[in-house]
Amino acid sequence: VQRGNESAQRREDHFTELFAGAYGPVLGYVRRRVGGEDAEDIVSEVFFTAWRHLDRAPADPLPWLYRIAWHAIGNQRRGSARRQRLQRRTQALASPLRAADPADEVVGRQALAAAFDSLAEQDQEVLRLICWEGLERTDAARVLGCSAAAFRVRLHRARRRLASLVDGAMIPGGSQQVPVSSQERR
Amino acid sequence: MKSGRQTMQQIEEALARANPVPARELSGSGTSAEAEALRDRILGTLPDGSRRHTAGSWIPGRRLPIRKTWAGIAVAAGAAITAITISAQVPAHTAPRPHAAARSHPAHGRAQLVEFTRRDGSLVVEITDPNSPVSQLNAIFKAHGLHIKINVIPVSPGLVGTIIYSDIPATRELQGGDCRMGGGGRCWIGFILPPGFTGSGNLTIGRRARPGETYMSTEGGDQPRVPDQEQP
Repeated sequence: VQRGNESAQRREDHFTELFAGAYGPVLGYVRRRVGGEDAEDIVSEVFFTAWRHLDRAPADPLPWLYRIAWHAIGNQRRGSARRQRLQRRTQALASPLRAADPADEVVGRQALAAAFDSLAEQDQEVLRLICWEGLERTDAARVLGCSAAAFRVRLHRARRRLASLVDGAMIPGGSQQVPVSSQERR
Repeated sequence: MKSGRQTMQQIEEALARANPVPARELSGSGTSAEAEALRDRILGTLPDGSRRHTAGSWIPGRRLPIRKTWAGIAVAAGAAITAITISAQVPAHTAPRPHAAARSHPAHGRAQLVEFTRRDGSLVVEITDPNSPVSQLNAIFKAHGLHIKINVIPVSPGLVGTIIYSDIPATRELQGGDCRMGGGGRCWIGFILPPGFTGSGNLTIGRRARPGETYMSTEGGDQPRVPDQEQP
């Protein structure tokens, strides 16, 4: 019994440590893809799942947790038929820009939003993992359950498709236009 | 037109800046009250395998051999009386916690989604977090061999955590709290199943309404058992 209690305590400590380090990143990952109460439910589901399968958690658990979250989001979308990620993305890409020419910023923002929205979901997720989650390619590959080589191919193709879609448009960024994050606006 | 490489870099930079939830906005979120509540709920509620299972304790979400759980014993022997009370995260006046000493749930004193309490051989069940994902609540009941399907609806604040509707046969209501249902009766804060209950039914619990969401049930008035759409 004592051994069992010690084992349970170790497991609990393991989860507590994992949770402390991963809650913020997982919350961010989910909130970047779904909004409102759904995000809370999914974050909850991710960690409940992690708790149930804690023995499978790798040393670096984030890609594993993101993968759980990705599946949970997929289930949520299929179940509710909501498309809050579109709303989230629209909100994101509609963030105020600091630019010399308001017309350029509108055009550039819309071009980028439209191009990103028209990408296949898989392409979008590849780009989000790199640009938003800031993952290395090997970790991003783990999230998507593919090899690093396969991820490199996916990333290359996603980049190429996005670039072709925004070709010729004034992209918000660089020296001409700089989006202002919500924190910078405070 | 810039070179392809420059354009791609510029595009990715723009995308990165468009991150709707920058990482810096999440600093400290792991120690927020919400995070700690979730962590405690998980640690106190979900299964962690058989190692923590001991007689008299229950590992929610995992169907255990009936003979090894008091809940199973109670159900199998036909002596179970289940009461569901709503307590945590609801107004204090609607959240009595009867017979705390008799509660049987995992140790650690952590918050539970559902608490099962034995009362003179019967089984009292408390849903302590009506805002929990429905799937988890249903899984817990299923794990106990209780074919009770939980549904939650948005309600006015006074009804959060109360039982709005039940079609579980032969149940006795457990009244409490200060809020009043239709006809002036006190709100249900739980219910009691007859001994040997093997039936099935549906249970609708009031949850906190989300911003802008229409209440499906409100306090007072001639409130029907099955609530109609009402304005907040």
